[in-house]
Amino acid sequence: MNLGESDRIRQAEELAWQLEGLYLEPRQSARAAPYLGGRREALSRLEAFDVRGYASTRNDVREERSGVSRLSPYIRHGVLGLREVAEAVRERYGDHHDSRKFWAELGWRQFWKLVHRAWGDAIYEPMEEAKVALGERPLPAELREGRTGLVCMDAAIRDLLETGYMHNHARMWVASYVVHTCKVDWREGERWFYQHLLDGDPASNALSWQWIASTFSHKPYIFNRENVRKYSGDTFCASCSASCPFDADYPELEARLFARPVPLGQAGRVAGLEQKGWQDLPLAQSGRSKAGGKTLVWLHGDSLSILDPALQAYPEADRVLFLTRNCYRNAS
Amino acid sequence: MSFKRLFFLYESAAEIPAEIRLGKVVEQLGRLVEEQGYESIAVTESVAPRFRVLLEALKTKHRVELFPEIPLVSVPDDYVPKRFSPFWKKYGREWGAE
Repeated sequence: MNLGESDRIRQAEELAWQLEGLYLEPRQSARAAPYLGGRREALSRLEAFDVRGYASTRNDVREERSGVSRLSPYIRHGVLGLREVAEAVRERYGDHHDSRKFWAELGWRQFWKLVHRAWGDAIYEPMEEAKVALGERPLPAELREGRTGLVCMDAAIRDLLETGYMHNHARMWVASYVVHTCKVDWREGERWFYQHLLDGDPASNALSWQWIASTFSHKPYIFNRENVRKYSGDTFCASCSASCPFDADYPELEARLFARPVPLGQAGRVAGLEQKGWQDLPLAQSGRSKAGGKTLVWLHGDSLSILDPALQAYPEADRVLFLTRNCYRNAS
Repeated sequence: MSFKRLFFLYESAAEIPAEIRLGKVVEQLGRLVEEQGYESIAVTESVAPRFRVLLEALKTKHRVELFPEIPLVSVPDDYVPKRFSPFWKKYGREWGAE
């Protein structure tokens, strides 16, 4: 598939009609993300990724300055393999400080999966006792919609809503603000991110929220204004007129955030998506002959590549992917 | 899930190419197998609990061949992870972990 942008827009509109009811946003605002799906695009992005400087620039949230790979949507869905990406970096740049830092970040992905394998759906509940008092408030609309008035938060949330991507450091800031400043139940934030992230992985997402909250780490993650300024080049703070809740040193922030017991909010949950009847219809034909073999390869959201091991074993077989309402939070 | 993500999945699967269907996995796969006369289903494993539930349901009626994912590092099947640092120190040496 090699569509021009206008063809891609038209195809997205058609699919939005066909899949209405299966996704969360209104059909009128359903758009394709600026991340073209598929291995061709993934390999092109992998080829363009330069790991040099990664260790020192990965935390900078400015797109032109940040050394992050933005390969996560492709890795999450198996369009690129973890090992494949690591080997590509080794082949091009060798074994040095930046490569090692990048490989360790890939290692986190496998680590989270191993936790998921060991604990199953328990990852959606606190894995450990929280090290600080946590809140149970529902996620307010101004956060969900990026209308907090804090330029750093709203810019990150706008990225999430408009592109399906948020820089990892910005995710940490937003999650910390949600959990520790706003005292929102981390599970609300977890589900909110998962609904919007192109790279939303059940394990990485849920356990990262727990890492921020301190239910799967030794201490809560918090940040201050100085940290935001350092890694955004003052992009946000210079244009922000809000009273900054992060403008303090860490001892003072800790005292502010964790000294008082947290008042319980309404224990509201993110509204569950209404279950509608399933449609049983093929959306797209593979164009392959049914005489391709006697084995059918079932592809799922972790394995969308011709390098999928099952497909490698049966390269001539017919293959099918199912799209379902809740797909890939609990892999289907 | 957002439409952006569904469309990303759609584009990724269409390029493979694969047939893309809507619906319940076990019923739909079962129907496809019967209608098209497939002898078996091949699939790559996922750690998600729901995947295992679907897999077990499929196995009651069909021959299913399961393939392992290709990991970044090899870890024993019974390994129970607790914190990243000891995990990476032990298993990430191939990738420069110290």
